[in-house]
Amino acid sequence: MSEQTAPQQDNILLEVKNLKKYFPIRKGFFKTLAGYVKAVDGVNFYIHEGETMGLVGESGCGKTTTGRVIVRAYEATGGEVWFKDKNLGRINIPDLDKKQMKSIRQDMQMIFQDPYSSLNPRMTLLQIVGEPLLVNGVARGSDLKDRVAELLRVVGLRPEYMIRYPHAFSGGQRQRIGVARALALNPQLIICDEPVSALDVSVQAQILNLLQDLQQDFHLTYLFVAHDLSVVEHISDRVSVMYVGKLVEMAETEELFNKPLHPYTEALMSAVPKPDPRYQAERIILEGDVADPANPPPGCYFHPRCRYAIDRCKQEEPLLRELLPERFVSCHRAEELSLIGVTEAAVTYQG
Amino acid sequence: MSENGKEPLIEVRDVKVYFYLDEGTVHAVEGVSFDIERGKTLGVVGESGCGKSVTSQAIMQIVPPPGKIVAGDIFFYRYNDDGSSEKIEITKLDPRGTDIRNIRGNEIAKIFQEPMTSLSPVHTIGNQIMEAIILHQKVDKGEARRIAIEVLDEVGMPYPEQRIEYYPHQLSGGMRQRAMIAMALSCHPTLLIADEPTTALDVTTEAQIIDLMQGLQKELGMAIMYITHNLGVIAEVADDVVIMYLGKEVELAPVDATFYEPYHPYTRDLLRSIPRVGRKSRERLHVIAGSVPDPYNIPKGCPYHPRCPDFMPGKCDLDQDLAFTEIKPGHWVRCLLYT
Repeated sequence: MSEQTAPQQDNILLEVKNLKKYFPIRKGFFKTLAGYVKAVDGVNFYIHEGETMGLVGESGCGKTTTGRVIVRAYEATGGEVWFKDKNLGRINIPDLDKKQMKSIRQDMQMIFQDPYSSLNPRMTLLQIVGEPLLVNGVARGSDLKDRVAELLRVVGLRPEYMIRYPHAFSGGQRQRIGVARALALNPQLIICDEPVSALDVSVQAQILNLLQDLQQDFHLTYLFVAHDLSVVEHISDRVSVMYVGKLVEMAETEELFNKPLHPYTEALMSAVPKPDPRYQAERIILEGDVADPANPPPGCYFHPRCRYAIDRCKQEEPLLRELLPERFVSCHRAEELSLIGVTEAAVTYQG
Repeated sequence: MSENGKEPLIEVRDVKVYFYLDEGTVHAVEGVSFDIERGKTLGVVGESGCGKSVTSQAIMQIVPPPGKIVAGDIFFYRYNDDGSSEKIEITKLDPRGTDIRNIRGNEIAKIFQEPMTSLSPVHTIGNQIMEAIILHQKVDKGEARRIAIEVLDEVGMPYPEQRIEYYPHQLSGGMRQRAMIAMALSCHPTLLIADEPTTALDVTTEAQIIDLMQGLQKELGMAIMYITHNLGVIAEVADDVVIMYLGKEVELAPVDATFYEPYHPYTRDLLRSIPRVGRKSRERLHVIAGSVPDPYNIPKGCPYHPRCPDFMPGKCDLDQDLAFTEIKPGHWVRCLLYT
């Protein structure tokens, strides 16, 4: 496949090219190879410095795996991940050796979904937030305490809390601890994996605002993985949509929501419940389930559920292409279709 | 609230549910009142710990120990085919008696958030659906199986004759939720309690399930009590909406008024703090100060006063019960701003 996505620009922090991650399926006593789950199957996208890229899709579409392959929590099956590191320059992450990887990991951090399971209950905040500093030899002793105190202050927690254990905190506060830990090493890129989906509505707003403030203050770049489209729309500059291990569309947020180019994006947006009882629009109900990534249909993976599918979609797999400047879509019929997004008019009350 | 030609199905009057724990008493539900009409949908909204699920447990008399319904009445109306109706006081029934068992799962059915944990993993979905049918309708196994296949077909399960032999783990999340809805509907309940039925599902599957529930409601004429924290879902499904905060009902209104004319500061704050699809918004979200207090130390007076933008010192924090007042027909608010 010769898909070209990234324009030649030097403010690109992360560029993912044809990234693949296959998980083998083994069966029987001898664990013979029965096939592969193609969790990520040829994904291309790029993120500019200082921007937030939203990555959306249904469960099992490979969005979390993509994030994990980027930080090499999983080894990629194929493809390239180019990262513009502040010390090492532009490097391909899967090629790095252990020592280089250690230095890169300081520049890429993760925030996880569940603040109850991502913090060790037997460690104090000082240990949790201080661990990355200690392990990388950045600070120790009283320096460490000062740095942790500062980090806690930055995320809106009182420095005195550092002697406490996670159980003493509410869900929103725990997520702040997770954010402080991610910030500890002054990273360039933070991969946020569903950071607000486990939180209550009122707390969710607090964390989203915190992430936006920190981005401005520390010039952070986010890869924001989430399934909630309204949250993604709120926080992202650009959005990528995934379906069964492939990227189907990537565009600037407003354009994507106002005028989607891929039928799957259109259906996703139509499915989001709009918080307005006066909103009247035809709802697109997708039939059936998401395709099985171990046994995907031929042609376009979305064609069995697509209401615009033609014969070509059943045979030929569409490639991701740049239809308009910085607007990427993988659909054979993208030029001829006129799809409906959600517009400002969708919600009229002022709240 | 129940006169003027409306057909009530459930009347909840000033119900209180307390949990007696070693650490203290948790006032999970503190004086909640509402009606559910036949064939209508009542949405119940609130953050975790506000008592919305416990309220629904009280209606079915399944509040888990050490919880107890300590005050209030819940009435259930049974409509007979000849047009007559009887009024049953659920709170007076023995939670283990036959009377409530005939209602539970039969006339009032419930579906839960996570179908994987509320379905038995060691029984086929067919056996689980047939169990309810055999229990409540006097039919033999063959007939129960026929009904089970029919109801699976009705909820849009493809190949119901084969899928009836499936175990829950063999189905996708959306299909499992359909199986659970099939189980709940197998005895044609007049009230379906849906406790966050789509929270664990993807948006496209959520749209399928909501569409299905609305279709079935129209067809079968059942009422739905829809519990969720998602205001988008509420806007779509509800006729009336109850907003709860720390065990108290703060506002009860028709759905349009809830969104366009909210009175209680908590309702307004909630509406303003959600990001909305379609409104371009790199601006900051409205934030509700602080977090939900812990259930052992509920603030005196109005429980929302420490977080409220319209807090009136010396009024809202006085130790008193606030009245739930009807501001407009059908629109009730519990707030001192309007008394």
